[in-house]
Amino acid sequence: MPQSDPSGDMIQGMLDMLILKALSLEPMHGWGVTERIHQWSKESLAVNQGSLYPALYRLKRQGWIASEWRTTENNRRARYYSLTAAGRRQLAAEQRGWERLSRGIELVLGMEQP
Amino acid sequence: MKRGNWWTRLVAELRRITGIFSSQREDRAMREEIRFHIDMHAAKLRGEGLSDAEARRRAAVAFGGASQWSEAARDEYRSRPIEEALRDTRFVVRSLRRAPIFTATVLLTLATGIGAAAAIFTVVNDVVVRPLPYGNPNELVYLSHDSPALSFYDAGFTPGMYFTYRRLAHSLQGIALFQTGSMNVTDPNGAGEPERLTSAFVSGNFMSLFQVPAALGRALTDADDRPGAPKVIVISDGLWRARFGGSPSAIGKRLIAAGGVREIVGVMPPAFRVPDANTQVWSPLQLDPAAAWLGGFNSKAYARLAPNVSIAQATRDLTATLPRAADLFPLIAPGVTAKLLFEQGKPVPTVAPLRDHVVAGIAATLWTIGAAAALVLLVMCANVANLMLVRAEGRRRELGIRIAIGAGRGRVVSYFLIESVLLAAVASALALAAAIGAVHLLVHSSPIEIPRIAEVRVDWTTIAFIVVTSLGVALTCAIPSALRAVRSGALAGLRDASRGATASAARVGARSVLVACQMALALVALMASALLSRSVERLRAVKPGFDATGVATLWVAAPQIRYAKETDVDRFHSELLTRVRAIPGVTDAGITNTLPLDPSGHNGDPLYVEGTGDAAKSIPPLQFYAAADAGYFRALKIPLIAGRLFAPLETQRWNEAVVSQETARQMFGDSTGATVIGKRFQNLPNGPMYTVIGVIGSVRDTSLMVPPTRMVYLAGVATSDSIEGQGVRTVAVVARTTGDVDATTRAIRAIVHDLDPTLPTFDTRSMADIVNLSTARPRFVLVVLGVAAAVTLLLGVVGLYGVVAFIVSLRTRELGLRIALGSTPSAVAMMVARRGLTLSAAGVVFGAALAVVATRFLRSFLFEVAPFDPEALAASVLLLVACTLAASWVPARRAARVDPALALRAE
Repeated sequence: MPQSDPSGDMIQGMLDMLILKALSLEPMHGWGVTERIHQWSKESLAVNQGSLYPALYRLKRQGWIASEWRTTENNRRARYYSLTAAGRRQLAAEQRGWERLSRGIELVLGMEQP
Repeated sequence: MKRGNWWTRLVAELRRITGIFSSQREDRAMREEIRFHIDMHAAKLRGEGLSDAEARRRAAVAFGGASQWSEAARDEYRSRPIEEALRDTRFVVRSLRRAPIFTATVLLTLATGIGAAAAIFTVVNDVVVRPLPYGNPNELVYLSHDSPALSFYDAGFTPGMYFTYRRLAHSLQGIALFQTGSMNVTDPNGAGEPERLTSAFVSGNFMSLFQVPAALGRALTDADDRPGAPKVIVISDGLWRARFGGSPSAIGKRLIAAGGVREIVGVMPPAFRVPDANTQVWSPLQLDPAAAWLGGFNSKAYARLAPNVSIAQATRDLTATLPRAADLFPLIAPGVTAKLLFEQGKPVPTVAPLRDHVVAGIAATLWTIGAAAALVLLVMCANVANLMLVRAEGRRRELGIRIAIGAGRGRVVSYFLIESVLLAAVASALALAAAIGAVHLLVHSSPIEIPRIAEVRVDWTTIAFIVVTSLGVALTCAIPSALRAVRSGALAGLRDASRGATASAARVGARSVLVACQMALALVALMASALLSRSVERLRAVKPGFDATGVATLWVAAPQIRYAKETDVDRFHSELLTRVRAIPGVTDAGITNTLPLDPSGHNGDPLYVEGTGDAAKSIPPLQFYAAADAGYFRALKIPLIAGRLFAPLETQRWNEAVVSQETARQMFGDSTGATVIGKRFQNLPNGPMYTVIGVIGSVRDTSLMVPPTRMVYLAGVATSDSIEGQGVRTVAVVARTTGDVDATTRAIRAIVHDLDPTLPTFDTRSMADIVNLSTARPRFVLVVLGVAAAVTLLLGVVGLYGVVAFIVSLRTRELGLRIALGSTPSAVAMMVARRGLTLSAAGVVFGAALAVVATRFLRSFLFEVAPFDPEALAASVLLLVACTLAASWVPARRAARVDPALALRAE
């Protein structure tokens, strides 16, 4: 896949990137993704469930994540999502793009008024 | 709020949105997933000390309302691709209709390219590839013999060999012997016009070998084939309809055919096309094994291999069986032992799949035409891909906006896919119509004869070919545009399109590659047609050894039942010629039994020069024998080199012979012919002696491409019979006229009818037509390759012009700047033109390499021209370069005229 241009679809792209990142460690269910982003961001980011599931379906359709039904430690059935190879590449690409963008923004915002 | 209601509303809402596409299974999965999520959230809240009910309530609220959730889900729900595709399809249709010129050009290009390719594919498939339409066709083979020792190939069969294999060869289920020819057919009651029918004398098992029963009545059987059995014939479907109006009462009718009364016992179905598609009558050979010789190679044979026997096994079996023929049939001909044939001739049996034998002459031509069609198709593809790139270029802004407002990459790619599938669908329908037309044209008015052409029809394989090719082509053509659109991303399009950027390599690169490929393919087509045209030119320049202009020919046969004695035949011919010479405008007329360049073949026999060794001990190389009178040489203006010609028909002596210069040179060692006069020779070791009375100029008898052959002309047309006594009383009347050839032909026909109304005339052709026909194949291939070259060159040049003009339009600002800064207009023009020339140079290098390889396959069509012909290559390259110069010069001049002020102000 060609390199992405996160400036084009910022909000959606950010959520996608966060989800991919959350899944990069191990397969997770939707609830787990919410919790993980919440924890990793030191509770500063809360994912709205209303956009979480649509995002998961979208990522799945794009082939970046896969899903399967598994049993949790508490013996409940849940849909687990895992990162595919393409998803891993996509995450890397988005991360690079994001770093560039945020560095740029920092530079601009850090500019002293003359 | 009760939870049950909440679920029901969510699911109903989803159903409403996703409509018919929603799946029960996905609904359940989603429901379960949401429930799990809320439960987990509630569990967490409980852990923070909330009551069970409160935790549940908050979790549900946090998840959000049904409508909010489903609104977002609508876009991502699994069934969306279909709905999306439908929406995109409507969008694509609208946008294609808004670009009618683009759409029409793409459709027409695809339809003609694919239509032509599909027509050729159909013909090649039905003629060369498809098994013959007979039972177990893979078992059917054509048997023949080669004699490398006598340089005699595809010699065919002798009755002795046939009986030997029939009795002893275990690798064959059956073997059928046949002789082809034509016969006079008249009605016993004198009703109707006499007809000359294409006929085959066949062994009784001929039809059962092909496993084809009669459509009406019965087929021939072994009982019909016994010597002395009642004389019967089986007729073709075509003859049955033409002569008997397709009436069942034809069975049992009697005809006077091949010199005897014969009863019609059956009608074969139209699909029975052996030995030939135009065979009209099958008649039993009625050979007597007890009276058969091992010699006389004037028959051919088909056979059916035993189950699971390979060609190689059969060849080994026949090779082992053949020597036993010498035991069964000790004599080749009266007085010549079979031992001589085996010692000197060393005949080798050959076994070929029947289909390969049938299409042997045409396969190379058809594959070549197929290659030309593929070439044109490739160039047309490049053109369509180019058009699509141009269109995508014009829509960068629109696509950029679509990406910017959230269309995913998949969405953009799918947009291009849908567009190409739609184009492919319409192009398929148009191509099918074109293919039907082209196949009809090829089948009904092909300039060359193609075996099995009657079996060619547009069917499901054609349609499958068209659909697969259209889809393949359209998708392939869309890929460069789709990739470009995706790669350039959202804002790139907006940025670029709104500002006159300089031409970036990425924007022109793909199109440049396509144009260079087009140039390369155009060069291959140019090169091929240059070779063919040089070859045809050489063929035209060949002197055949006779003068074909203003010569009429037609055939007439004098049957034994009306002309019992040879003198009767001579008297008939003499009278005929006297009256033909009296036709106004006719300067000379004669008869022969063999016309030069006639595809029906020539008789080969050895020539034993008197006093050059024991005739019974060695067989000299075979050469051609024909019969003619003196008028024949004069009518065709074949020069007399030494001696004299024959005396008039009724006074000529049967033992006199005229030989060609080639025979004089090779057999008598004297090309001036002076010392050959008076020499004597035989055509059989114990046969009669002939005396050479004249030497005439050599003639290209078999083909314009083949050097003149050795030929001996014997005087007695009526006496030169074949061994089976079928009688060579069939002659061609050859008349030279200063007037109209067709009128002369009609006059001769009237004279024949006047002399004997029972005699049909047939195979009426002017000598010029016969010469033309002999070069029809290379000329047809030339026309096809010429059209291919013209089309590819035109498309290539248009493509090149497009790219160069596009570069100029992109760089207008830069060019204006350059001129403003002091660059001369001619320097700017050169800079632009150089781009075009670089492209064509790349095409030329690639194309020349390709052409060197590809033209090797043309070898069989080339005459006196090598496949790698520097002149042809140079001419092709020059023409291509000239065209590219013109195509780049026009936009280059426009570049030179750019007004710097205007260019800069355009910003």
